[in-house]
Amino acid sequence: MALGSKHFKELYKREFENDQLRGNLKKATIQAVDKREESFAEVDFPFLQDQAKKIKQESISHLNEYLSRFDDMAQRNGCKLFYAQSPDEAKDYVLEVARKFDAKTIVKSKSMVTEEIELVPFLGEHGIDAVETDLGEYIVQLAHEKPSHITTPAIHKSRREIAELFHEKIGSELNSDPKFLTAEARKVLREKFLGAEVGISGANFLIAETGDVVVVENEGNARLSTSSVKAHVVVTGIEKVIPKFSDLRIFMRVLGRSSTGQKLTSYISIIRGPRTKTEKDGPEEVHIVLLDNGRSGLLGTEYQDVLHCIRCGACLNVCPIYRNIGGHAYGSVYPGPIGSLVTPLFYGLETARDLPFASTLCGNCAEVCPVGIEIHHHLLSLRHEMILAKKPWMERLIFRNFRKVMLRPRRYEFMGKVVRLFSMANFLKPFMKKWTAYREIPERPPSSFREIYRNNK
Amino acid sequence: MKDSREKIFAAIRHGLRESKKFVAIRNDRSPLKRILNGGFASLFEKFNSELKSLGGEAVVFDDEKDASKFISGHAGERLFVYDEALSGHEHLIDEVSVPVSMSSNFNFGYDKRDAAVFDSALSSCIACIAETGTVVTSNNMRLPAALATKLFVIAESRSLIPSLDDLFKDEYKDFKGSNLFLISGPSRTADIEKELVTGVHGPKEVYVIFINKNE
Amino acid sequence: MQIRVFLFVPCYIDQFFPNVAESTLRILKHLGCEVIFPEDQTCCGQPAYNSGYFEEARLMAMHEVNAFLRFKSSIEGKNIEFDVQRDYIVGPSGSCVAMMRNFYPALLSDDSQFADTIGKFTSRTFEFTEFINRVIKVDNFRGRMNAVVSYHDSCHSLRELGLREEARNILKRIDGLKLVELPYSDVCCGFGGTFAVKFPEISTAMADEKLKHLDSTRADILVSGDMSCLMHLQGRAKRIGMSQRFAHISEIMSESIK
Repeated sequence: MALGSKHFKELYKREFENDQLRGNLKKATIQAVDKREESFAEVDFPFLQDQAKKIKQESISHLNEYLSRFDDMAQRNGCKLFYAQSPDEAKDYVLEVARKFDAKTIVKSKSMVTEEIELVPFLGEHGIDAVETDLGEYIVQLAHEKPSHITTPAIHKSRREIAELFHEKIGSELNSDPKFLTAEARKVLREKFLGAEVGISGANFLIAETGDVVVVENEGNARLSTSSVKAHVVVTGIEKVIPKFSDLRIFMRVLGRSSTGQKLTSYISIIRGPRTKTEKDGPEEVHIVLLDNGRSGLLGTEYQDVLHCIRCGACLNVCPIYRNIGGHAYGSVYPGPIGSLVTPLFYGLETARDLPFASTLCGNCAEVCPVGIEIHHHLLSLRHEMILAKKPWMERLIFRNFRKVMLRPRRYEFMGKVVRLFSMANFLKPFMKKWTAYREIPERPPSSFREIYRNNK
Repeated sequence: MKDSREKIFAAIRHGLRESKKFVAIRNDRSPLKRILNGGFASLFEKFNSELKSLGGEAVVFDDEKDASKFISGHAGERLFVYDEALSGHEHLIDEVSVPVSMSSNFNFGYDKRDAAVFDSALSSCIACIAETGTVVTSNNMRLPAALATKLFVIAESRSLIPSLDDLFKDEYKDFKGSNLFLISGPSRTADIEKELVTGVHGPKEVYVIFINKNE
Repeated sequence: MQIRVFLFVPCYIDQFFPNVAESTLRILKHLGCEVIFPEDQTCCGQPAYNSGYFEEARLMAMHEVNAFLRFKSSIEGKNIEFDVQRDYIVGPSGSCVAMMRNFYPALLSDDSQFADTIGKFTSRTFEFTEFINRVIKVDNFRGRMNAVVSYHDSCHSLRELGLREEARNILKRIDGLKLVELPYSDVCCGFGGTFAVKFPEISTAMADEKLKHLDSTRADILVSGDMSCLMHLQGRAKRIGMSQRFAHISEIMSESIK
């Protein structure tokens, strides 16, 4: 699942060369950033960011208490809870529920966690057709691809490609108008909603005070996936818990705006439990699968606040690196700045050695993060951890010598003179080639500042 | 399973053992730069402007008959009516000429496809939020409103509240029913090249009808 | 009492862009400061730090702090020592000053020798434009230059030090100078230190984007408080045949008072 990140150095180059991808990404991310800015104009973002950060700090620093409270309340509401330490445990449980309801078709709305554990292929192996009902996810599912963005999964595909895909896979006429394509998907998916026994969703928030599961969406597919079925299975992470119902007034104001520049998404479901006795439809059972899979390992570390993430995707949208290479280059379910943290932290440093370095540490991500995660500072810390774990010998040699030179002013002056007077390109060739392939090198001045200063004294 | 639950809680406790415990001081003030208040007229103006920008529409009628004519004029071919929508508005569908089905005609265990035949649905709501053009619903039957192309929501003037701060309070926290469903305009997607398309799985048209009874 | 400044000259400016240091010195003197250049200074350690070599960076940081705080010399017969109550450390680089102010404390927190002094060090350290605005007061500067310029904020200046208006306030003090803002000015230029050679294609693409915005402003000069960004942008601009000039703000200031 995260093993792709090992190949970042190859992957990013390939993605970078894809002009259409870069064109789409640039347009989409710039639009998202502009809309985000516009949408935040009428609210006090620093206030919201501060409150959201603090609420998450409270929640995560008391995770055992709040998770326990959520557990109690959710069970009181009639939900069944399942705790999974690993992806396998989670998948086995979902399969069990599916089998209980003899499900052949499952409808599924967007959930990063289900992608993290690779649930859909697993169900497929067991003869269950789990259909992604979010349009972007449906598209990448048909194409047998992975999503390339947290909130706009098919951003890398052109309308033409999607038209051809639909033509091939669902027999649509060849028409690349997004309205037409959406209507085609609606037709197909409506049948799936009406025929499904089990629905799977993620959760944006779990409210400890009330035991509620909060799901936000724009299309209406999550509403249908969780309503037209006999069993609704929520697959989510243990870190999604927030303390109070009233805390939603903060999070609901930043989530839509950070993600797509909307004040609110079209639909917000606050799900308390299975259908009540007076309700005529809705699931008879609600199962909540709480996944750990490396999350608890961040508690007590300097990376604890990485668990605050509400998966809005704002950091992806502002990141100039992401903008140029897209999600697939990261080789992980979680791409972009937050992905460069989550991937090595959840799955191990060795799975993503290059990711923390694929950044200029510009800090734009941290600036827009609605829960105030200092992403760029964490990336820097991870760099240090990567170096401690495994030092590339040449680089280690270079920095050791760099330090040795810099601790001796006379030696530094001497080396500076050498580098200036002799050809820079020859002296630092391995680095220089990568510079000079694209850029000119600065002219070499005959004297350093300190030489000039001394001469003028 | 019990084993995993214990293990996860143990891992959490272990991780947090030396961690600083943080308690957030929640600042009650509104994050809105301009506070929304005023009577129904000014809140309605805000509500309508928000809903319009989302592609929906809000209207006010003093008379149920006019409201009924409006519904009739915009309804599709088959209208599903939630019984609660008529509570306090018995004449709301008098003028509707298309075939109507009431939620009371359905029982638990009904065939889902029977809910899919309605292209229009008339629902009640428990609140409307001016800040965002949102209606808050809690129906005892989810599918007809979720599957319809046109959604009509009947609201009392007193259900119009200023902002999300007013919704996420104790008053609404203890709702009856399995869920609270917030609707802000038509369903939408921009998954294809970021081009906006409305009317995906949920309704494409949303009409919020206020009956302004002189109370 | 005359303001006394200990000039911090980043290693790459010392060796490759001495004119920036010269201009900085000149301006500070012009504005009435006494300027001392401690010759023991070498490098703030950022290249090592940003590459994850914290231990190497720590050693360089200690050396750098001592070069200023432990400065002791005889200049023109007078004994001069760094006085934390009155002396300032000023450098023409947002990036390096950010390293010192924002990252030295954590880097040196374990060392007992520095626990005390690091706070003193950071409290006296300023970035050049910041110093002119906050300590000298920008109204004391006046210049003249007919040019259309645009300004590039380095990410470190913007986000680590919180600087934005400072440079613009200075440019406003130059008669005849017109400032046109760069579109999307808060997007990184793509240098990022070793990033520029680790991921050169992306680095270059980001430079190209920035240069495209520069073209759109029709400015003749791109000014910045960070020579590192300029070195990268200038290098790319030259390669693709652009004719704009890239100058450090101290150079523009220096030329405007000739």
